[in-house]
Parts: sequence; C-alpha cells; structure tokens
Amino acid sequence: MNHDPLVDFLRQYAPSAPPPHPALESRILTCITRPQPRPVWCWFPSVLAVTVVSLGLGMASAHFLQPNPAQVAELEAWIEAQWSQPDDWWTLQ
Amino acid sequence: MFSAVEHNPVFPEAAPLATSDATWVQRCQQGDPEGFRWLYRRFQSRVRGTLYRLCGEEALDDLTQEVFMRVWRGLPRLRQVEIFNTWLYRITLNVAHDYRRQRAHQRTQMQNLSQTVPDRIPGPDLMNLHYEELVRQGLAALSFDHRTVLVLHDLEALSQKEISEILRIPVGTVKSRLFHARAALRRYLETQGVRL
Repeated sequence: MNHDPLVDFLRQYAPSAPPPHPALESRILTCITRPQPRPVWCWFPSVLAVTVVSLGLGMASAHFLQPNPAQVAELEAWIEAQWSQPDDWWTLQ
Repeated sequence: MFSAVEHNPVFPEAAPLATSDATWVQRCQQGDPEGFRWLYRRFQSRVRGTLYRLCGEEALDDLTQEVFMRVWRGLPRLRQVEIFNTWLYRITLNVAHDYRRQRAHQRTQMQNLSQTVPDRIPGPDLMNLHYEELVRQGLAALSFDHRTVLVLHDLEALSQKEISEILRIPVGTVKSRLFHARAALRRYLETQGVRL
C-alpha cells in the first residue's frame, strides 16, 4: 500500500476509460482473420524458381534445337538473296 | 479538502503472467482466433486505461485496435511467453507515442492549436467530477515521459523495475522521472486549491 497522499488521490480520482464500442471486439477479430497480403520477400522463391526454369529451358533449347547444316545453308542463301536486293528493301520503306 | 484514502481495488497490483494466461498466449501464437478473443477480453481494459490516461478519449477505440493488431502480428515472434505483460505494455506505449507524434505533426502542419475544452463542467457541489477533471488536466500538463512513468507506477501499479524493462531505461531514470512528475503534479493540484 502506498501512503503518499498524492498517489492515493490519483488512484481515487484518476479518470477511467469509457467502455469500448460494442463492435470493437468483432472488428479486431475480423481484421486478424482476414487474409493478410504476403510480404515481398515471400515472393522471392517463386520468382527465383520461374527464372531458373526459364533460363534452363532457353539453354536447353539453344543446345538441343540447333538447325542442321542443310538448314543453315538454306538460311544463309536466303539472307544473301535478300542482301543483294537493297532497292527492294528501300522501296518497302 | 482531500484526505488519504484506502487502497483502491480498481488498480490491482501487476502480477506475473499466470499459467492459464501463458496457455492462451501460446494458443494465439499458433494462430487461434478464439484464443485471441480471450486475450482481448482479458487485457483490453488495462490497455484502454493506459491509452486513455496517456492520449485522452479521442481515437481511443482506434488506438486499442492498433495495439491488438500489433500484438497479433508480433505474437509469433514472442519467444518468452512469461514476459507477455511487459511486451504488451511496450506495444501500448509505442502506439501512444506514435499517436502523439502524429498529432503533433498534424498540428504543426495546420497551425491550428485549438483550445482544449473540458467535456465535463463540474458543478459547485460535484467535487468528485471536479477532482477527476483536475487529475485529467494535471496529467495532460506533464511531459509525455513523466506522464508515462507516473501512469505506469502510480495508476497501473507496476514496479520501477518493470517500468525500466518496458521503457528500456535504467531504474534510476524511472525514479527521477517519477519524482519530478509527482512534484509537478503536486504543484499543479496545490495551485488548484487541493491540499494533500
């Protein structure tokens, strides 16, 4: 027990808080049960996985899906043919 | 004039976290909303009382909600369940401090220092209301640091050691603030005609 008259005075006359709004409890419980947005770092594993898979597929396709020599020769011939007709290219502009 | 009164049961002594409380806190840590409902009902009056004496009635419900939202979000990271009381008071004081800082910023921006009007005008024979208003104004006149220590020690009945842990300041600083806060409040009450 405190015998300081000031403390006794405070404890007797300190204003007490008004009662909460009746809906406050349900409001808080609604807030905590609502799904919260995930923090940014939670998305990091997903982004990393997608990046790794994309790079892997790209490298695999570059390695395994190379054109055969006949296709390369055909492509070079087509480019040469296009390159030798600059006027046609200009007329397209 | 005022004379010393008996111990007021409205302000129970702060006690360490009971076993049942710890069980409920652990349930909340596992994400149990019913456990949190119990926790809210158990501690809301203490939280509201502290917030009311530090920040007043305005926005009291919102501040209470903010405290319990921070509790819910922080509970999974609370390692020592037995310090829940200290932790809860720390969150409450942080919310009160943020609110006061936000209010001060708004006032600076608006340059609109409205005069505080007491919401209850005491009648000549309503001494209780008059004393309550004096205590409210006396607390409001203290600095936030002094008021915080006074409220926690003299009204919430926390020990100086608990207050030093909550505020993360030395016990000597708590004693000093308490001394100056009481002296200032005593001076204020005496100027209002209260003899203690």
